[in-house]
Amino acid sequence: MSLQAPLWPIAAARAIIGLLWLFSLRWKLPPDFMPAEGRGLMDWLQLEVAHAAFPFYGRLVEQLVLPNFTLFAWMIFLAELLVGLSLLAGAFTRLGALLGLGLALNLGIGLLEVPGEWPWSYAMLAMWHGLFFVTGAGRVWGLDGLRSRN
Amino acid sequence: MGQVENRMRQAVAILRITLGVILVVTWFKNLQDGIYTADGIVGLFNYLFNDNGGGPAFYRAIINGTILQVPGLFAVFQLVGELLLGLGLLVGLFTPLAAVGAALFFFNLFLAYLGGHEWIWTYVLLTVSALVTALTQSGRAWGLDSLLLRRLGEPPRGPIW
Repeated sequence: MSLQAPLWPIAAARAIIGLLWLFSLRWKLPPDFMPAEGRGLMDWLQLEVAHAAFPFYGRLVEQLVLPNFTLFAWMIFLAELLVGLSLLAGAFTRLGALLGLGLALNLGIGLLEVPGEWPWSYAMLAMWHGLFFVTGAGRVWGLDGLRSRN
Repeated sequence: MGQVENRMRQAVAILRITLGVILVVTWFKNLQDGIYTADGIVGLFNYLFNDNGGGPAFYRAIINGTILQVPGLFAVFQLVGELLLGLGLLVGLFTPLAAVGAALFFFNLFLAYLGGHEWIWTYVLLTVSALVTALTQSGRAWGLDSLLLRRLGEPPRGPIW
């Protein structure tokens, strides 16, 4: 009678969500953090201000992030790149998952009231990162597993 | 069962319950919006096909040749099916079956919204979540499948709990 859950499906999900972060970089590529067509990072930040679910958060983006856009854009770009690579390779997975959890919660809070956004997407994303953190999902099919064996 | 395995089992149970909540909440909203009627189904696919991507050509052809021929019948199927999938996942009953059904449903949504304005990764996340829920038999923690397992042991004909 098996009560143990296999880790490999979670490891596969980890790699897929790593790809999600890497694909999401397409519309926030430096130096202008804009895609060839469609909305870029600046547009999304402005939408967060215009449709802020939490006034404090809207003011924070408006008064701190937008005036220092390039700095924050680089921070967001690098953070998402690190999370994507960490989850894809299963390297330092708990750290990557923790950072990804923060990014997902930030996205959820910022985009909660933006028209056309589905809050459950970000709830799911946040939950998955919590799951990767709790299970140490890089132990299977990941560099964390290789590191612990050597 | 070790602490790590126990934690993993509980983590996938949270995933299952979240999927169940999403399906049941969406079911109620769809019911209020009149989606589970012949007109609702036709309206939904008109929206998808004309204004929001509508997926690859083969997918449109399948939908046009099947669902849109009998939208009233499909509406009833969807009304019952979506609720059963949601409840099955929520309470963890026959979880692998419910989760595979949910994965097919979410993958159908992925195809339907492909090429449109929606963030397509939403449907990737949902499909992957449902598949992981099935593969980890996540009703065995905090679910009725754990009672079935204790009473009846491993299922004789494939992993249905």
